[in-house]
Amino acid sequence: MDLKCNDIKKAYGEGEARQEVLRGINCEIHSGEICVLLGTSGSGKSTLLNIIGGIETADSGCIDIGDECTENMSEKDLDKYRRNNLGFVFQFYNLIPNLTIKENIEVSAYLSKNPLEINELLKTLGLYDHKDKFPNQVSGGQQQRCAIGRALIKNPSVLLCDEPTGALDYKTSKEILELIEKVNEKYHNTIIIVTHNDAIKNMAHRVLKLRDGIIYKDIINETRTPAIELEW
Amino acid sequence: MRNPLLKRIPRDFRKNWSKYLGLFLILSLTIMIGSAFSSTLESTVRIMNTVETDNRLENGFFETSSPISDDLISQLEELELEIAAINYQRINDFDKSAKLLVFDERRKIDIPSIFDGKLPESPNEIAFDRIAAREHGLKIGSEVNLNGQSFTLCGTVAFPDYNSLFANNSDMVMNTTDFGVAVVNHEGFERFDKECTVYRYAYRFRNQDLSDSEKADKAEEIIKTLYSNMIVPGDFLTAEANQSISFLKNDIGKDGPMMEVFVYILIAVIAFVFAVLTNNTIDSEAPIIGTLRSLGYSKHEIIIHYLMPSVIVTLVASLVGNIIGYTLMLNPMYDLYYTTYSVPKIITVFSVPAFIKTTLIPVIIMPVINILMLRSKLSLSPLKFLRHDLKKGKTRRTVRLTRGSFPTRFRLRVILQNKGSYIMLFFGIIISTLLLIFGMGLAPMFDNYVDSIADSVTFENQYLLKTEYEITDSDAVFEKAEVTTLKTNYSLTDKDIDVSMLGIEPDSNFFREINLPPAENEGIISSAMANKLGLKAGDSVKLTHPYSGEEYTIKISGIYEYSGTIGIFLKRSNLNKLLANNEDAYNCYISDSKLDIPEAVIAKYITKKDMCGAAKQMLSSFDSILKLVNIFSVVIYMILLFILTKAVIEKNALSISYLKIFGYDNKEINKIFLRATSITVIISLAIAIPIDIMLIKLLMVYITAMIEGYISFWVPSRIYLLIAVICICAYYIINAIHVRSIRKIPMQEALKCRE
Repeated sequence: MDLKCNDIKKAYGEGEARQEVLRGINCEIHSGEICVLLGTSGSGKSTLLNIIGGIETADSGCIDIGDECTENMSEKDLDKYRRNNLGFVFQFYNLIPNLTIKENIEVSAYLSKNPLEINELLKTLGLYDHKDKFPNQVSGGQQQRCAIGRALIKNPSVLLCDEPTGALDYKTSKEILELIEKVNEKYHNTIIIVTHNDAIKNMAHRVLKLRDGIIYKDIINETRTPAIELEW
Repeated sequence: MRNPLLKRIPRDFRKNWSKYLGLFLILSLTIMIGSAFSSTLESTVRIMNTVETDNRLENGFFETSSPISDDLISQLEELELEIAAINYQRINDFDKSAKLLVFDERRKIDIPSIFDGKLPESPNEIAFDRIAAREHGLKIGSEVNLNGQSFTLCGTVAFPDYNSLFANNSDMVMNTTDFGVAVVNHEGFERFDKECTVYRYAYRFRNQDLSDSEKADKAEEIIKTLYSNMIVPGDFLTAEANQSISFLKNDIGKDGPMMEVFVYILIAVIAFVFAVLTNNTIDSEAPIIGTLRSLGYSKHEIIIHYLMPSVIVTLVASLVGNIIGYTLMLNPMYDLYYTTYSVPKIITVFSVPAFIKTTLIPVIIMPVINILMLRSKLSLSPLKFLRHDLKKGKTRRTVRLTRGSFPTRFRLRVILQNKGSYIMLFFGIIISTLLLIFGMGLAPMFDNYVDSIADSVTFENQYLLKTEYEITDSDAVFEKAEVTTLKTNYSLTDKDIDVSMLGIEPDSNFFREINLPPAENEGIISSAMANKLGLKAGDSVKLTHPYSGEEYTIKISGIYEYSGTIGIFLKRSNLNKLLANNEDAYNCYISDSKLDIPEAVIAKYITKKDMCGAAKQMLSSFDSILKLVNIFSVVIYMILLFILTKAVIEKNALSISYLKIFGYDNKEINKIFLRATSITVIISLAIAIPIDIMLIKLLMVYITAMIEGYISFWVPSRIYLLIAVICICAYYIINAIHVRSIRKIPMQEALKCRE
């Protein structure tokens, strides 16, 4: 399912304190692509991801996913939009502490009419042996795997990852990126990754570089570097 | 697929069992008492309604000095009513000093219900009112001697016209110790001296659906018929005005709403406690909520999820509360009525209205309050939850704390950050101390009332006479008085209450401090009347004659400190002029010692001891319930204190953990976090007690509205001190538990969960 941003604008504050965070974002991300949103702090990349995810509304412009358009969507419609189309992965895992790894993933499966097979996904995530453990009994990397599993189980057309390796060490970060790559190959979801880590751009099909609220570069990677070979 | 979030709930219950158990206990106790009380009320009301029809309760009675003629009975029956003689003998020295009315057999009206044993069948058998038998230690088979006649107790009964044992209708309180009723069969009654028989006639309307005004009109017609036959009734009372019949009905009518309000207030407090706890949970789980919302969970689904624990606890508590309320609690509740009222055996009924009031409404109050809080809290966007930014609107300015040492400022910060929990704690303290003041203060309040009667009533004996009787020779100090009862409207209840008109001598030895006004339409009112009706010097009070309907207006020229009665003092001659009597007329003697007056002349004999004893007796019937109130209020106080202070510590677990890492020892940490709570508890107590006093004073206005006299609110300071000590001691017990839990908070807490 292709994703299209149509002249997205967003500002915070009023009067003199008004700050334009997004000043007209136009882009198209094709179905099954890994797209990296790259930019420095304050460039607007997280705001754009949140607007695509329907957890923040644009002042103007809209997002098209397949036949759906986010413009003028009510709160209920946005809930539905997120439920049907999206999966989220955050820098912090936000797992429910009194649910096991498997149950944390089931929380999201419950929302889908056609979820993926959970045990197979747990195996893909490398979490099958830890499925009955509680989040505080596994490592940070395993917790992030669980968070990815939670986002994936619904089999969303778009997976949104906000700094997914931001809280992880180098080795674990690479494992997570490998997993994202593997998931993309296996399930063919569109994956949008927000990062400030320049190296990650090399594994993407498309790189959108943001600066001062606009996309100043839309790059298609002719040759991608597998996640395992990324260095930073 | 079952929502996996549901799995959190039993785990949450297990983890926070002490918190939920506390709330469950308060809820189930409240619902248990509410349902047992309401069901008892319903069952009692039903049994009283049955008595009205099956036992043919009277609509009123009158007493005459001799039997009335058959012709007069026929005339009265033409007024569409039945009439039956329920004559009695007054025994003044039963069991040494108690008054006992022994009634002739009753077949047509006011038929007694058997509680135990049987009704008298032979002339030497007697059935006692159940309470009278209990008070005098009588059992079936006991022998009693009444005016020289010996009887065997064959049963205990409940009289329809004496469900509340008022010795005199003007008495403020019931007197079960010194007053009782019994019944013998007609042959048995014949054994008594006929000269001493009091002729009482009970009437019952053929149409039992008459309105109050129609009943009053009928009563007036009866009086007119009696007067037209030259019969002056010694006493005439409608069932509505007869306290022995109506007091229980009025008491039940007022007990019910009071209990319901009490249940609703407690449920609302618990609902707010739940709301505060859920609010804390939402604060700590904000990123999880943000994530769930991002995944597509709707606000509605999240509300339901966080609402569930409170709803489950309420449902289980209401189920347990009802089961215990309808099983174990019913007999203690029935005993409350059996101890005080002479009611027939209560048959338990499952009452749908009681179930709605004590279970369904609380079960609705709980989610309503929590839904309102959750809706407001969860109205923020998912992003705000993800960012843990849960402030609504513009960021509130942080209160700047510049004065005081660092620990003092830290403590203040803890109080400010946990103001929600502390506000609920404050309300919890108000409610529990209110109950404690009520439970512990009622006894001294009654004692004070008794003392004030003893202080203000300066005569020892009061003789109400049937006819004038001149005492020629006596060593006692005595005075003549004219005493009558008029009615005045009590605006608070919009009902007429009795006012004793006391015509005394201008230079009375017994009322030395009183300065009676010369004008015949002016009088001095008792302090009890001034307090109850809110009257002051210069006001006027309108009075009505209960039988003739004649109206009088008396101007109040002063207030006399007198707690014994709701009354107006006038010069005897002035009262007689006002009532169009002979100026020297009298119908009463007051004296410092016993007077030699023939029994046949005395209508009523009241001693100072009677007046004080009745109030003491009333208090003893409350004794067990007051103990329960005290235990219940301490339990509520301790549970609320535990839950809310625990919430403060849990909310600050991370800060406590940090302080440990920085090198603060447990004592220093306790000083910051627990002292903040100690300060709040002590300040709350200091504010709550004066608020409670104001509330109880307001409540007392309504409580005293239910009784004939007036009891002023007075609780000695030692009681407040005792309450404060109990509350502080209870707090320190809770505090000790928290000291242990603070010690257990690991330092890793701060290092592990940092997101």
